Amino acid sequence: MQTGDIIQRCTSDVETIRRFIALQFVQLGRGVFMVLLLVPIMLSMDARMTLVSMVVVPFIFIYAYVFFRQVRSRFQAADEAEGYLTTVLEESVSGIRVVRAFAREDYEISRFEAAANDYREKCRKLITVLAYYWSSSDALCLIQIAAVFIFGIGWTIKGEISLGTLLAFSTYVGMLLWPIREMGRILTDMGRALVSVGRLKEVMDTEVEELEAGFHLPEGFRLKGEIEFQKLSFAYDEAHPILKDINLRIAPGETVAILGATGSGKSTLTNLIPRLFDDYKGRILIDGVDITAYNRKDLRRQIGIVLQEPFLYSRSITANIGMALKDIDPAKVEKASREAALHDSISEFEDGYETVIGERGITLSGGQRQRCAMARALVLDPAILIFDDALSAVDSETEQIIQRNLLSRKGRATTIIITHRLTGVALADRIVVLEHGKIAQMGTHNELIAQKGAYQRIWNIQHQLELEAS
Amino acid sequence: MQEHTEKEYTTKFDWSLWLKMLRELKRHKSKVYLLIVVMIFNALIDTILPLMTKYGIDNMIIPKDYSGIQTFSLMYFLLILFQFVNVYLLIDIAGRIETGLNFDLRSRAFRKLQSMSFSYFDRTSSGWIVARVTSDINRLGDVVAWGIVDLIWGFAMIIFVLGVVFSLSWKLALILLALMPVIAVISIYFQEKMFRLFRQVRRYNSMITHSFGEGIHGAKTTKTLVCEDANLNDFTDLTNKMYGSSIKSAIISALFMPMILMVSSVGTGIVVWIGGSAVIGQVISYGTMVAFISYTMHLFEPFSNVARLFAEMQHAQASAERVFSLINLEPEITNNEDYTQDWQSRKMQARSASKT
Repeated sequence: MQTGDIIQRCTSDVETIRRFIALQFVQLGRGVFMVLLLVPIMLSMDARMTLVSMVVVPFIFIYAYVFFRQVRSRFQAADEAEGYLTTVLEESVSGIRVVRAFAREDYEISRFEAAANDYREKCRKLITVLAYYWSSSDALCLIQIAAVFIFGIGWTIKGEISLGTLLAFSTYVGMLLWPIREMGRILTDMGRALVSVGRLKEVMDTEVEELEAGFHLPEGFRLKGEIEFQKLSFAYDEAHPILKDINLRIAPGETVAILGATGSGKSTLTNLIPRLFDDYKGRILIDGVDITAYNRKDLRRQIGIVLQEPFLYSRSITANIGMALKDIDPAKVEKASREAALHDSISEFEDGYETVIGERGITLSGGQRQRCAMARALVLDPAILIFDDALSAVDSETEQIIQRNLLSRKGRATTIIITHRLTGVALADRIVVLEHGKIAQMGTHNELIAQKGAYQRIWNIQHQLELEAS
Repeated sequence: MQEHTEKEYTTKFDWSLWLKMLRELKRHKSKVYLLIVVMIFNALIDTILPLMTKYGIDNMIIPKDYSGIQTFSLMYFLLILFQFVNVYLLIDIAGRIETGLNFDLRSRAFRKLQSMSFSYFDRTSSGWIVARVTSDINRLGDVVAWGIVDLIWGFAMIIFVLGVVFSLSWKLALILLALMPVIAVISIYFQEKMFRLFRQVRRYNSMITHSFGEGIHGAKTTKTLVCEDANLNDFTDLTNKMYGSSIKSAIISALFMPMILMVSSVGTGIVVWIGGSAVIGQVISYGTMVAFISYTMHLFEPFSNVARLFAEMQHAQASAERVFSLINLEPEITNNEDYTQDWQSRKMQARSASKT
């Protein structure tokens, strides 16, 4: 299921169902009860007047039903035009630097105004059609009310019905018509609500991750951090294996760099350690114990992961860095942010560590986001640290500062560094080169540089580039 | 955890802000005038329809005279036809004003954004800008265009109804007049409360949507940080707040109509009581009494509409302030055209000087 689709199911579909139950279902019930209660009363008073009062009722119902089915595509067109307008605006605002760099302001204005105009036209057309519907259905209802009164005048004059009966019918017809007109519209929406129920049920029926099983680690307990992969294989689908027969032991406190091309299985390998995926073959041991034996939450608390594209919450910087702490300690937060070379950037913000980031606050640059995620991992002081290409958006100078900071805590945690750049392996005790899901080479920098293989190839290319650049 | 929230509600009604908003309608002046005329006619026909009933009772049923039925039917049909045109025009014109105003404000806001420096975009989140240019402007267009409809219809209706009832029977008209403040107070109180709670529910709803987005986009991070429980607690807290507000909103909405109907029914009862005696005493006709009952039962509509409009406007003030704050930003990048012209003129002067 795509992320956008899940969000839509949890928000729009829930809203459709809520609206149906809270508003439309009530209106529908009102319409049905009005018919069930009023028609017998009207029949008991005068059958002919009832017939006259009901002439337009089926037509108004069918008219509303058919109209709102037909007009659905126009609603959709207006929604799509609004969606496109928002996309154009978002693209233009987030890409403002590119717009300026290529002096495309006029082009952007005309593109935005074209989108805004298209949205205006689609809304206008929709409103015109709705104007026709509401005015004509109003007229139909008024004709029905007039018909009851005009026929009633004749029968009252002839003495066939009383003036009281005529006035009662005049009131009843109004009570019947408007809810029935609404019923036609509601029935067209009912289909949408049923589809939403089905879509939401799929989310509700999805199997949940077992978080409580396994043995618990005592409060404050810290693992040594020895990691061992035994004959590890993994595939999202059988036809395309990602990891093939990996055997690797990482000693407690050791720093290992994993190098490899995109798709070589580096991130997958590290995602398996905190049990983000379970369907692998082989075994993963931490401190000699199969990771499936640990309680999943306790295991994850021992691991700090920094992702290449870190996710930050729309909260303050302090709240983001201290997210996983039981009680946020500002001193710890500041220490971690200094280690991640983020403190100086934070100090420049007006509200410092209380600056709100994300959609409800300021936007951080890619490098700042990565450093914030790094501080979030460091503040936990976990037994295992994983940096998944975590400094890709950081400039070389800041990268060096961070590496120097990390060097001072070397040996404190077992550290896995995933990287494309050779500068990232500087801290590593050992380097593992992955190729097509297999370990192609393993050793220290000096050992690997002497071997023919991927590492030497990458080294030569990047070294050559650096020389050319300098 | 600290969360930045937008100002949603200002207690003081800011007349100057809305006057500024009305000035934005300058480009749509002719449509606004036409809409006002249409709404006055609309209210006029809504006032005339009960008089048709009165005419039918007093001039045909009571004297048992069927002769005028064809003319009466034709008149009734013409009124319906006229109202059909009115309703069509009111929706179409209000829609044109709404979409036109939205387009103008959007275009101005976007052009202003193009003149802002990078630092503006660094300190302002894209989400904030998008929300101002899309939903806030939509809200303003809606309040202004349909506000004109409600306001003109409401006031016209009150004036026409008062005019008619006083011409029919000033004694019965006094009953209606006495009911008006009661209905006005109930309408203002409930509509403001209903709208405030409605906005609160919508605000919680948008916070829940945002929370869903965060929960889904940040699922991997949440799992690795083991903060599922903390996030769930925050989310549950939010849904509980929405639940509480929704219940309050439902209770207030459920109370409003019965209260109004109660007052209207009491009014109708008094009209029947006093009017009935007057009919027996032949002071007023049957038709007059029926027309009075109809006016009394529908008296709340204009008050309710106008009260709802003011509640909406009060809540839309925050949107208006935000949109104007964007449109009225001082441009941080000035066009270099003046500089170029200045440079060219100096170049020309230099040339002519070198020739002499």
